Amino acid sequence: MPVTRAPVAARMPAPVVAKLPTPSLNPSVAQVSAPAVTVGGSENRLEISTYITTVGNVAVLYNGDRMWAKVTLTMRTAGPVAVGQNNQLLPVLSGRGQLLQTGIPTVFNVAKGNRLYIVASAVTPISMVVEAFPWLETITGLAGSASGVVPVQGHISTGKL
Amino acid sequence: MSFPQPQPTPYVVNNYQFFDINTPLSCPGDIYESNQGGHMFCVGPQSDIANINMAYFDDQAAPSLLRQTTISPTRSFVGEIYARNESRYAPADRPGVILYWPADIYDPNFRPRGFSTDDDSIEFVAPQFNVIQYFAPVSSLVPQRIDKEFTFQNYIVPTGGVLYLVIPYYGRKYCYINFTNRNATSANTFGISAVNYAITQDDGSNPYHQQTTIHAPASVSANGGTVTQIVKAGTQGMFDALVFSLTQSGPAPLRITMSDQDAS
Repeated sequence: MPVTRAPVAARMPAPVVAKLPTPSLNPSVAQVSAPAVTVGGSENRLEISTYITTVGNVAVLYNGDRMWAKVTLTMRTAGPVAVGQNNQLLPVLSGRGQLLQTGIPTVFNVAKGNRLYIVASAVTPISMVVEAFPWLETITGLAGSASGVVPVQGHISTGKL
Repeated sequence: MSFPQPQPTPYVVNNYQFFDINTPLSCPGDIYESNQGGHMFCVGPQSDIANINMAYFDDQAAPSLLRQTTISPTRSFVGEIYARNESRYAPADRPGVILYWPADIYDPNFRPRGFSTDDDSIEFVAPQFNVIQYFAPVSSLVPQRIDKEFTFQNYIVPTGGVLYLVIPYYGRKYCYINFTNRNATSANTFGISAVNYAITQDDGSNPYHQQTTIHAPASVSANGGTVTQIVKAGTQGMFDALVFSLTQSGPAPLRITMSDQDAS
């Protein structure tokens, strides 16, 4: 009896949303992992720290490559300190970033794929609280999984991965 | 000036909310700096210097880019001033830190009229330079200085000469002086004068310092003779320093209490 085989299409696994997108050869497109549909325990971790600035150097204050997060910054002394999503922040008082105010918490909701940069004119302690938004990541991932639409770094990729 | 001068950044890193420059002056050219910005600036409680100049970086203050202001026991500066460390003053090409220096004149080369370099000696109490910079806003600011007291008892007086004691008196409005000769056998010739320093050539024949006699030198009897003198701004005036002259090593307690309040 001849062996019957299922149609080729039936043997193909259902399309899934890959964690990693297909690498792009376009250097202008950032490579960011696709949203996860589950929440890992470590992703709920709260981060509380003090960041002490250096003078005249643009530094990465928060790297949001993996996770949406609420970042709360409180400058404890006079500064001046500027924060922005662009690494071209110098000069400090140029207006390219937002100046922090002494003792006043400033909140940034940083979307996945963004970074917070910081620059200062004086050594300045910054109280920093990072509260991750793992549910926002999950919602994004589930939405993308359901629709086959995967948001990547501000671009909408409509092709299936 | 104490060297190296204290730096404000360790205070910032260690979460102090102020930077307190408190140091004796060694010469009129002492300049101090802060590479940290501040929200409030005032004269410190222990300062003998009454008027303190501040300078900070200002893009509009051409051509030096250095803006200057003055604080005193009657006028603090409330307002945020940045230390612009990445900017440069012109033409010095030095970082745009905040600078402090005394606006009052101090001249350790001052010599009273009639001073004999062969027979006399002079001692200075170096003025204390005290300014406080607050890194964050505070609810109140009290720039008033403490009522300062100086107490002396025994003196190194050159044989056959006069010892002069110079005490800082910048901006003070009231002073109580009490001198008692406790030497059992010898009288002591005690005098009080006041001086306002001038920019002058001290080794010239006629320095421009202005001296005012408060209590002409007179013999104070042994074993309890006393001189009491009150100096008021409204009566005698205001001076940079008080000068005391003595001719005997003591013991002779000399108590000097000065205040910014004019107790008239």
